[in-house]
Amino acid sequence: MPEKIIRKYYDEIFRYCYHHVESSAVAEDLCQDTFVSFIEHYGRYRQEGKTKNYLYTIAKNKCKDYYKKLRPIVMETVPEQEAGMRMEEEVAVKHMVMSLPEELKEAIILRYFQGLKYTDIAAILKISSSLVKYRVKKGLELLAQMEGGGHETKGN
Amino acid sequence: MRQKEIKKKLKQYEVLSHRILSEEKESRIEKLLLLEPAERTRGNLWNFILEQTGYLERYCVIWQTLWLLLFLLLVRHGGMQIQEMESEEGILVLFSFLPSLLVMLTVEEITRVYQKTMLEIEYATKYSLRNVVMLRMAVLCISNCLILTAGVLGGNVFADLNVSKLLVYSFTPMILMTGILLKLMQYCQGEVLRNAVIGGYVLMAALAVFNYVKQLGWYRPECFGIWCIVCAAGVVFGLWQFVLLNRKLANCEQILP
Amino acid sequence: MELVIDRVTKQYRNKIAVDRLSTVLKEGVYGLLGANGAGKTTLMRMICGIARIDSGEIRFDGEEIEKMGGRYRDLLGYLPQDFGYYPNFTAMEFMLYIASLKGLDRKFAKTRSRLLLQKVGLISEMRHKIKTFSGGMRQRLGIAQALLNDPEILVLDEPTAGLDPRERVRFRNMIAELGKDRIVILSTHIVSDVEEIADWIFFMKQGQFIAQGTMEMLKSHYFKVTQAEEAEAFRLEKLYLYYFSEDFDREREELLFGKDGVHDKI
Repeated sequence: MPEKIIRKYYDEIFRYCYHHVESSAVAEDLCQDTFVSFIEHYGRYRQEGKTKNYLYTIAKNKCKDYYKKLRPIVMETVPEQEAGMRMEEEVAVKHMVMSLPEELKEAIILRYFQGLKYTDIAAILKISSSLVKYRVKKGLELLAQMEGGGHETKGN
Repeated sequence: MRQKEIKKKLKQYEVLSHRILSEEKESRIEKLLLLEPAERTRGNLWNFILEQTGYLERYCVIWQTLWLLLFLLLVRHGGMQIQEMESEEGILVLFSFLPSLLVMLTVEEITRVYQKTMLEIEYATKYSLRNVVMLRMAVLCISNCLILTAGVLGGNVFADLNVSKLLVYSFTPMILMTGILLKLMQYCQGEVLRNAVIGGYVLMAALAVFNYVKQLGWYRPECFGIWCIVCAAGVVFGLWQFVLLNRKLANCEQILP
Repeated sequence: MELVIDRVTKQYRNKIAVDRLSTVLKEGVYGLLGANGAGKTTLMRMICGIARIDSGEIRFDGEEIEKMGGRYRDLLGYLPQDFGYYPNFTAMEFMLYIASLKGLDRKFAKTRSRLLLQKVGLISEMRHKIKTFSGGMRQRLGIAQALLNDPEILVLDEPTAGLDPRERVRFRNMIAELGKDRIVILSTHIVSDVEEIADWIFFMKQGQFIAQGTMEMLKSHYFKVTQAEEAEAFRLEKLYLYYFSEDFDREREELLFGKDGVHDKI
């Protein structure tokens, strides 16, 4: 039943979209688009795998399409203070993750921000579990490097 | 070391981000639900029959009811004359050709959805044009027969009628008219069909008037036997045309321009 | 999902309309180009099960479509050339009527019709009678009805006839999206309609495929044959879009260039 599915995953997908963009308003739209797509195809799609993963796949593509339309997000642009994200450090974390290369960013978001299992991530990204682990690891490494730089400036 | 810190930071972010909730969640979900498709049901023939009947009867029922009222009114008014059955052929002629008017009125509903320009689309659907048209014709014939029977039986309440005779006199032109309609439907649609049917009706009415004017006495009791034969022949003719139409519609290319 | 056209032939009296055509179609947008009388409509009718196949077979996922009957048509969406309509029906009534022919449950049909009318931009006209619609609006309604049963095979015969360039662009985007997970067969004699969205293009002449391939493979060939025409059409279309976009000042344009909007400066 689509309604149950929508209610169950709405918050999660919304958060996922939010991790990709600067404002919650845009996240609302992307989340909405995701579910509209889901409903449109609901009768047709032969469910191979979990509905949750399917939703993530749609959302991932919507976020990607959104990026394609924009200029690449410049780090100087300071997003509005979002409610609940007042701490500079958290915003900095988000920025760091957002500046990762596409594949690594996706892996990090799915693993750490959405808390998904490696097998699920593999299904969503259509890659192997080991490749997921590799990307997560690589992503953490890059973040650590960035963080190192960040610490230095913070210290000053 | 750094990685551990990073993981911690990511975890903190994750926890905090749980506080980010959609503000418009409810209204958005409402909008989504408007789009939500109901569980798809398909292939339910009974539903199809009911729906098409509904479509047809929705308009026809008005005409049929009006017709019935008119019929009953006439019976009430001219009841005495009918009892005689010999004189006042004029009334009998009227009762004979009133039912065919019923066919005429309901043909409008048929032509409404049986038009040349729509044939292609209708053929390429699951139930296809053939099923729709045959179903509509069947519904039309059955409902008209029922209305007529109701009219005659109902009229019997107002005046002591010779029910069987009246049924034959009114049913015969109607069945002939229906047979002609089914025949015409094999060759034309839409406006052309409607005009052809009107033409057919006018012709029949003209015949009746001709009989009346020339006092040919078609309604004499002696002729009743002939009427019965013609009626039976009409039924056979009608059924045969029904079969032919079904056959013709099954092969789309014969109908398509 | 696979539609196999296997040496299909169709003959009308003396003329061979379709001559031993063979091809295999999978998900994607297929453009069918050719002049009138090339056999495009006949082929499409055969694919829709409307025209009888004289020799050869058409199979969907292995099954002959003639044997499948209603089950096959259930997977089809068809928009014929010269799309007819019932003038006194409203847009919504029309959609519901077609939906009933397609065997869709009424409640489902209502929501689905609304969704589709929204998608083609006719939702605000849904209670208006079709006879009040412009040509472009009618075409859009035609596309909407073709999508009612969410078909796996979408057959569109000259769907952009009567659409202005802006509507054409909207239409192209819709088709490109649809082609991602179903077979879309699009016939036209306007090259620009398919050049951006078709994954594979067939050139049809006198009932045969005289050429087929991707856009890149074929464009130069077609361009060679009708060079002047194609370039001019392309330019005019772009200009039309520019001059008639929402923010363009029409009054100013009329003032500068005269009422008929066509100017020799171009």
